[in-house]
Amino acid sequence: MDGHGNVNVSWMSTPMVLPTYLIALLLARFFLGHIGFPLANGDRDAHVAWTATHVLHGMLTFVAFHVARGSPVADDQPLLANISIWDQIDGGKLWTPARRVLITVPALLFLITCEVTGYSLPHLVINVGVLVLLELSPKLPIVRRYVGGVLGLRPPKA
Amino acid sequence: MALRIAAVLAVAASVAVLANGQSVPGAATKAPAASAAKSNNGDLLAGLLASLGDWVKPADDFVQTATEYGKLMSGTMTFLTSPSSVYSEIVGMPRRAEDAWAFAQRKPLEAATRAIIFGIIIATWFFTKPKDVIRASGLTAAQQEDLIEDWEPEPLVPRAPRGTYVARPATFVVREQRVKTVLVEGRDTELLNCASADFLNVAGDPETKRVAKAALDVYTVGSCGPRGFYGTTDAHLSLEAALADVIGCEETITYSDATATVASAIPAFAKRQDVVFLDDAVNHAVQTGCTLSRCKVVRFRHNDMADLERAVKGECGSKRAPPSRRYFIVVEGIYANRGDICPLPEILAIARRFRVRTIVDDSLAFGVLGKRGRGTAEHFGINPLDVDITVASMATSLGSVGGFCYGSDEVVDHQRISGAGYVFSASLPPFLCATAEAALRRFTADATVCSQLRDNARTLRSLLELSRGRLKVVSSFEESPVIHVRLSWHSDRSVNDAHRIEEARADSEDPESLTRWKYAPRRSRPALRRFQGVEDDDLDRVVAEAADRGVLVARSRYLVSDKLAPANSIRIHVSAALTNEDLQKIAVVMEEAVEAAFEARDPAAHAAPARADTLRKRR
Repeated sequence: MDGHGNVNVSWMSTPMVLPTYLIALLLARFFLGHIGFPLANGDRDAHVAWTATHVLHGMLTFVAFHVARGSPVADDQPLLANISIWDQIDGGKLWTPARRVLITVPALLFLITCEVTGYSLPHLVINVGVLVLLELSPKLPIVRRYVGGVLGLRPPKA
Repeated sequence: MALRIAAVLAVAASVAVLANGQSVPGAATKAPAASAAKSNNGDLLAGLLASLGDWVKPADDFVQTATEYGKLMSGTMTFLTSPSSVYSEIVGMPRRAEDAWAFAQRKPLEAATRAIIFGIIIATWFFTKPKDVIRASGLTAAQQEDLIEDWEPEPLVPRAPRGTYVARPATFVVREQRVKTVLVEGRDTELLNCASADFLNVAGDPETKRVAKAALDVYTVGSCGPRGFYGTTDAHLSLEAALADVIGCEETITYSDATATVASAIPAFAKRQDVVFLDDAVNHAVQTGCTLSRCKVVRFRHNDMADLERAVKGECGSKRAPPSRRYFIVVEGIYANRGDICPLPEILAIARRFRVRTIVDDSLAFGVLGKRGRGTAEHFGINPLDVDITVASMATSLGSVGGFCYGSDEVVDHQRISGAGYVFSASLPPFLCATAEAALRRFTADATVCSQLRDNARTLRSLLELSRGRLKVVSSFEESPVIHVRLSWHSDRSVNDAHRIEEARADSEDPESLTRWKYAPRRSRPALRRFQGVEDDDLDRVVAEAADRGVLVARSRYLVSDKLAPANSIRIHVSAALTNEDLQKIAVVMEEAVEAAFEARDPAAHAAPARADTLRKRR
């Protein structure tokens, strides 16, 4: 499982990932603000839009990092068949800059969402749930070691 | 770098100041605008934008979003740059340490959330180190040693499943090959050679040996490399030119292996998107070619033109097919596994009608059929070049090794860069080219040898059919140089026929299903396998008895992966040099050998599978 040769994820370790990520989030927030939600009106539109951004982000990254497995690169397929994208980043090395960024951005997104929504309880419950279940638990090694079996997220065996 | 950071901080600070309505020394120029701002943070930027003029009327939503961003950026950036700044007044962050406790008591939820998130971020960036995952096996060194000692590697060649074909040791080792006879190890007498496909008796001929020796003196044994890579000699070019001359085309291409010829020629043209219509009885090499091409394979019933037409209609009429899709009909001239001939005129008519290309494996017919021995097409009075791609073996009538392919110039040229067996395999040894060319010149100079061979085939077939013993000639083309013989107490089914039986059953309900690949249910296969093991013993016995009586015949052997193989049979190869007496002797010997094998058979073994099958059913 050599991270340098794995073109499936090697781009995630490049410096332009962070700006791209942030721009994508802002765009998502912008478009979600324009869709309009049936339950929201007036000032609360922004609240719902931020929460929706966070929830969507959590679901998409969970699928992209922890549900998706393997590699479309033919040569890597036998080696990476059962390894999630998250575990492929930097060849499985822990706490690399790419991983730190991918942990920091959701945490900040959560904080921003909480600040915008003024810590109102329904928003807080949803956002905490997304943060803990979809964004942080699958990424933190200590969580994966102890409850990984329940979530099916145990680190790959050698 | 420092400049860039300073610029970012300046922008952040100015936004923060704008949002907060306070002036700081660094943002003095913005002070007039800032002074116009109201104390309500949410309306700040809206007011600012409105003050630009009435003609600027941004959408409310945009203003709201922009305001929000300004607020957030100001809050976050100022917090990160100076904790004791305006951030406290925007979001209520404590300015001094003693305020923090008061803030936490006033708004515990906010305080706790911020502390946790910033704690996570700070821990992530400053309290972790990149490290490789160490996956401890959890075993001690001694346990590991034990495991390593216990480990037994899997065999390189896995054991065949019970009852499947297992290669038996060769019964006969040829010591010397003469014109129509061979000498085998352990026997002093000559045996009539009915086991090799050398129909025109080229291989044992003294003239062939002389040509081979002369070529060896010039070229030595090997050819050094693939054709495109130092492996081409004038012997190869001369052979290709001679073949082209005989057939009447501009060029031909030779391969160094008969099996690889068709297995390379088909994938050179049929690609993944294409469709191949495959006869249900083709030999294993043709099947391999279709598999390697990765195209869709649609099988039609053996020599059933109505079924072929239905299959072609079904595929070519599809509206969803891309216009670039190619269609091929793949057949054999004389079917190696059956000994019957394909109805080439009908096939060509269908191909022309539906604009389908044709590929014919003419290995057994080249040098046998036709006035000048040019194969199936000539037999039917067709120009050989009317078939798009024809493939033939040089290991049959030419008594050499390898194969060749002919067609239009494009067909041949294309294979020189995309025929896998041509490009990636060492070329044919030059002396074998020389012998093949000599054999070719011989039968083209005097085509009576071909007609002699056809007469012999017809005679032997009628003699065998007349014998009326326990010997069953598989009905086939009367001039076929290969005659398949089965034993009357055997079933006509093979393991690989199992799927055919299933298909025949399915036929009554759904005629479409015939063209689809279907495996037999598992239940019927073991029974058939056991049958086949017993039947193979009988066939081996026939071969041994025939050899004792002076005739060497061969039992057909098919690979397990050959899904279209028929039941095993005795294969009798006719050759041109056999006289009438020889043919009569062969017929008599075969009858006697089959009779002897019938006497020596094990009736219980033949009965056993049926009993086991019923037991299995009952369970």
